[in-house]
Amino acid sequence: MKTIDFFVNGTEISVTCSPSKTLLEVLREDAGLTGSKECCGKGECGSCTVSLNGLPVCSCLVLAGQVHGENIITVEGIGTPENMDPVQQAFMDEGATQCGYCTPGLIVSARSYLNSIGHLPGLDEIKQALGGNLCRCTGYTKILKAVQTAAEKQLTFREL
Amino acid sequence: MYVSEIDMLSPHSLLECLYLLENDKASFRLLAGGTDAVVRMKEGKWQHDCWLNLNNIDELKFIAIEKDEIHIGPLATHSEIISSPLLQDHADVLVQASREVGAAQMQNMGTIGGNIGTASPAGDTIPALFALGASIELTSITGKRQVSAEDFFIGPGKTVAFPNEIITKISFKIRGKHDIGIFQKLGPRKAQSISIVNVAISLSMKEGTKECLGGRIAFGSVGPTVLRAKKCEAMLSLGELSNDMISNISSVAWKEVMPISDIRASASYRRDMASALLERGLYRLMKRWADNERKPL
Amino acid sequence: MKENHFKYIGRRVPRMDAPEKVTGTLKYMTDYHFEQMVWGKILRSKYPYARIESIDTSKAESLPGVVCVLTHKDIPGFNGFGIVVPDQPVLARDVVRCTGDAVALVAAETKEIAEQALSLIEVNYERLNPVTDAEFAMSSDAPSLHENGNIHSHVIIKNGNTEAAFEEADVILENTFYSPRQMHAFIETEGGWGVVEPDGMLTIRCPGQYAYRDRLQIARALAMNPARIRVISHPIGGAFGGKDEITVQIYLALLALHTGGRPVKIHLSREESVIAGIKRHPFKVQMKTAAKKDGTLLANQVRAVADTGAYASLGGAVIALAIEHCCGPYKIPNVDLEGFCVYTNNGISGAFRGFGVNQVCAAIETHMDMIAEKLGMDPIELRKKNAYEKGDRSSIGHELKTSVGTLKTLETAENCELWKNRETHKKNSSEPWKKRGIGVATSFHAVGMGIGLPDYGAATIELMPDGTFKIGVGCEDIGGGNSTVYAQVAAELLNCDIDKITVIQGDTAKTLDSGTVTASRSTYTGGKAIAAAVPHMFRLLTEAASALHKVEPENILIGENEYYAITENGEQASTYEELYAYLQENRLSTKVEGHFMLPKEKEELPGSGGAPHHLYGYLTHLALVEVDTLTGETEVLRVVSIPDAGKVLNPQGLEGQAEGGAVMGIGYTLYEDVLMEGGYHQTANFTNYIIPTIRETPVIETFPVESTEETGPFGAKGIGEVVMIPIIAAIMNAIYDAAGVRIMHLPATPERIYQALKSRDVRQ
Ligand SMILES: Cc1cc2nc3c(=O)[nH]c(=O)nc-3n(C[C@H](O)[C@H](O)[C@H](O)COP(=O)(O)OP(=O)(O)OC[C@H]3O[C@@H](n4cnc5c(N)ncnc54)[C@H](O)[C@@H]3O)c2cc1C
Ligand code: FES
Ligand code: FES
Repeated sequence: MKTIDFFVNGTEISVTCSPSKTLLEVLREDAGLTGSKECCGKGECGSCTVSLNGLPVCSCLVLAGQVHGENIITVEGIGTPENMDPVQQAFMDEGATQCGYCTPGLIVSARSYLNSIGHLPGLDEIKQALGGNLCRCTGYTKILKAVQTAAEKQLTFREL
Repeated sequence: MYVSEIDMLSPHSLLECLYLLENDKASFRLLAGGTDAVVRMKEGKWQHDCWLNLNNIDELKFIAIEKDEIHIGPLATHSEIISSPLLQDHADVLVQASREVGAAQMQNMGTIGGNIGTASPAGDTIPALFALGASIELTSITGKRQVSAEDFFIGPGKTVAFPNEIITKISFKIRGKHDIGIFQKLGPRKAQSISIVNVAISLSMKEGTKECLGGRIAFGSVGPTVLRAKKCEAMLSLGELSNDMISNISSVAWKEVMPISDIRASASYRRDMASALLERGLYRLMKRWADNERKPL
Repeated sequence: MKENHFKYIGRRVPRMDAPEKVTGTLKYMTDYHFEQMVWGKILRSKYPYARIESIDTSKAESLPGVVCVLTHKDIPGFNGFGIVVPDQPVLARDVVRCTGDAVALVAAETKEIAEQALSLIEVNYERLNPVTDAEFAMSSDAPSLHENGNIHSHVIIKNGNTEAAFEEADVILENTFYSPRQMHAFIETEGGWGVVEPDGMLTIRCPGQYAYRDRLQIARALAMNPARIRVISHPIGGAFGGKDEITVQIYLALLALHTGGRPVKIHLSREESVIAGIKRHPFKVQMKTAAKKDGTLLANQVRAVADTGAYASLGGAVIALAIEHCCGPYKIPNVDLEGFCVYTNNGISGAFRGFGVNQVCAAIETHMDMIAEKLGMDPIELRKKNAYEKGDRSSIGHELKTSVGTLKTLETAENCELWKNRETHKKNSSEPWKKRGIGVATSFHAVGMGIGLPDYGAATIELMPDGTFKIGVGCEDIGGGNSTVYAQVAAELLNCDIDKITVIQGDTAKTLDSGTVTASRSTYTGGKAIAAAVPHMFRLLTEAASALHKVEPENILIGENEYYAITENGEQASTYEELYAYLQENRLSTKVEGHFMLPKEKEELPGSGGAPHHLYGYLTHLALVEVDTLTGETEVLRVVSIPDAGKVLNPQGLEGQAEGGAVMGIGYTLYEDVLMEGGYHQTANFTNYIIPTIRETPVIETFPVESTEETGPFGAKGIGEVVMIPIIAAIMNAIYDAAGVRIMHLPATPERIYQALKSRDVRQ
């Protein structure tokens, strides 16, 4: 057992657990943040995506001991039902969520990606950025549209 | 033994790390990005006492140019490699290989040191390192040694590194503007796929012509380790790299590889694909060369 | 398009549950954590076929942290489950028939201890030779896996005289098609919770597609009064048919009985889900099709063999539906159709979106393409020539009494940009060795259960203190968005704003039995049941308003969000809150029910296993592909999906289904297959089970044709399954158009396409 201190969604938390426990389990079981999901546990699906110091990573393959002192943002830190992030709003408006189990991971990937660019991304760029997030329901088309919509909004907002 | 009993040490300097490796009685596993290592742990394949987490060792994180050499620290992630202007200019083949690793999440965590450490015959950066003629620096508490990438790998998952050594640097000569490279991968789909066959090609071109002065070609996933295609390489400088020449060179590739069948592909398909990818790669590379030549400076 | 005078119907109403889903606040069953919880784990069989000689659990029981270890001896009731015949043991006693068979259960303080305990259970097996080929399983040399032999079901439909027709035919095609063992690959693996409540009630929270039936199956195994069991089956992280059968509900229940009231959680790893979860039936389809020179179809002879694996689940119904649909939406006068559903030791197959039609559509639609080519006919023209219309007789010989959209979908296909400019599109390949091609295919899919199965829906509407209506429908929302459609239907009919509607689903304590969420039926059935409940709510509120204002009910008008009483002092409005308050004060019920029976055909075609259905949805797909002839890789670049879903209730939801179905169809055709060898799964998890990512996603356009179905809610039908069917053949035909090879063994992997190209080049 080790005590691990790190920041989740801007708040510092301290967890006492095995350093070999996955970050995903720590978030879901110790921090009560169940937005991030486990689907494959092997880095293949992206349902567990969180942002680690600004970069999307699969929390099912990150160990608790690796995040001591680091900054984690989960889907819960991006927006709330009352105060949605433009990406979340766009996912809702465009119908980009169906069963919704993949959605939190996609939101984190899309948000991190849009944070990292300053231009209006082309379809291929969005596809490249979201290639690690599997969705079995939507056929991705509305997800692409949603990310485009959010990017447009973000850009106009910045220009203002 | 339970996975939850595996401890973790996070040394803050290379020296501390090497000291632990040498003297501590615990059985260690090195942990960089963890994208291979944590999978092994979950599969129950590894029964070690303790992780040696490398992430706090800042001296292993660099991408730099020194005289006529490029130096890459083992903790450089695939994302860092992709976005490095230095590597974009001097190691296009490596940049392209890193771009083919998994997807964004894997590129953000996965490191080049880990890709080498895993020593998978399908590892995507390895053929690129062969093509660049890279050399790998191993360091232990007693000293350093340089091993060329080609001599580094012994078999699937096996390397010449001793348990007390860690990879501390990857280096290769900088390349001129007539040195061009390309990485081609055939996987079951575009993102998130393990190579069925991959190939890295690097060529030194004669300015203003389609003549190649020499080059390196390395195949992955078609043998126990990445393999250099020396017969094909020898043919590169036989004459102008015309489409006919390209297809002649490619048709020899199947003689250079020794693939096996597994659930992803049969040996015979892999063998044919070595040729196909080489042909596709050379064609695309020459097209890019011609397009760039046409561009006024 | 006609002007839409509805407020919600036909509008792009965003999903009701979207805010919770996009922010990660929605709690799925597998997200709950309870104090004092324990973890459950299932020991699966080591071998695909073996006799169990002994099971020793003593070492596992003595491991610190283990709460209980259970075997078949601990099953209080009937040791079996299965939707149609309960031939699958809950916990194997003397024989295991596939590696997914459960042998023992463990509950422990942590997941790790539970896993460790599994490894300490000693099972002695006598290994038997597994039966791994369906054709072999049917032969007399094969050992019988079940009492009544290996043929679980056999369906036959015959019409006319195929022999004579083949004599007079101008074109005859005969081919054998093999289809993959597709995995549902829902993103949430099977899992949930079980707990015995302080009052002795058993609560099972586990995603499913029919809470009431799950409850019955649990009750049967536990020998417990179903009324003492509550099953909550919603929300669900994807299902597609894969959570129609029991997944872990009975295991949760058994364990919960032995944990002293502590909640027990099971959540399968992806690896266990691959081994234990049901799959799509792999089919071998032999088809012989004949036509006249002018393109008129004369005869179709089909023999289809479905590998259902160790247990039946819905295999019998799958093969029946396959045979019902194997001639396409065409009038073929002479047919000789036969299907077998066969037991093997290859895992378990069951319900999956499309339900057998995917496999046979690939065959008939490939033949249609080949006939068109042989006769030099346009492939759409050929289909139009043979398509049946409402009132016609289908190939299987029944009269179509409900709307048929095939012709309309084909005409739309003919006139869309992709088809009209297909020669130009084909020329635009991106590199010299890449070839482009365009394919078309059309199909149909029954809505609702066939003959012999009860098919009904029920809904409740409850007026709440805050003036909202709570709509209760048993049917779960498995991702398709039926909850939003229910809200639209309710708001439209009740004449209120949609934000006054909440929907609850999938909870035996709170919703009435409305049947399964399968067979593309939930929009149709649930929508109709709500419509049936609305007049009762009108009556209730009208009576309340009339009593409140002391006027005759005739003087009550139903307004938008309000009721009006015409009194001597003019119009007086009552809000829903006021009406609720009145009902409450007078101890009157605030809840009404609506019930609905699905219309059915009267006469079953003898031997057909439930055909025909009364209602079908139709769809035509076009696909543009690019084949890399150097490697055999295929990329789908564009898809046009033209559904006839009756009236479209929510275009956004319909497109969502069409897009999701198209991409799942791409996966089926090009990538997906759970490979098995000797009864063992070679495919382990998402590392080698390849589903399409966003990077494999083509441009998908959806052009619904609306053929109003009078019997449906606002004229709607079902769409959930047909959206992934014709695309399979459309891609196969497009590959042929591009590269000149026909791949009849799916998936059309690069290797299969490459080998086909290579042998064609050798031949030439
Ligand atoms: C979903 C998924 C997709 C993937 N796709 C690809 C792909 O397309 N192509 C590909 O090539 N790989 C792929 N990988 C594998 C993996 O991501 C890469 O190999 C990555 O580069 C490993 O780096 P890491 O930092 O995560 O290594 P780790 O997992 O931390 O370590 C890997 C191994 O290297 C050793 N090691 C690490 N650093 C050192 C060092 N400095 N000195 C000595 N030994 C060291 C470790 O002990 C371990 O044995 C994939 C993995 C996953 C989970
Ligand atoms: S659960 Fe982490 S990538 Fe699938
Ligand atoms: S919405 Fe169900 S998996 Fe994406």
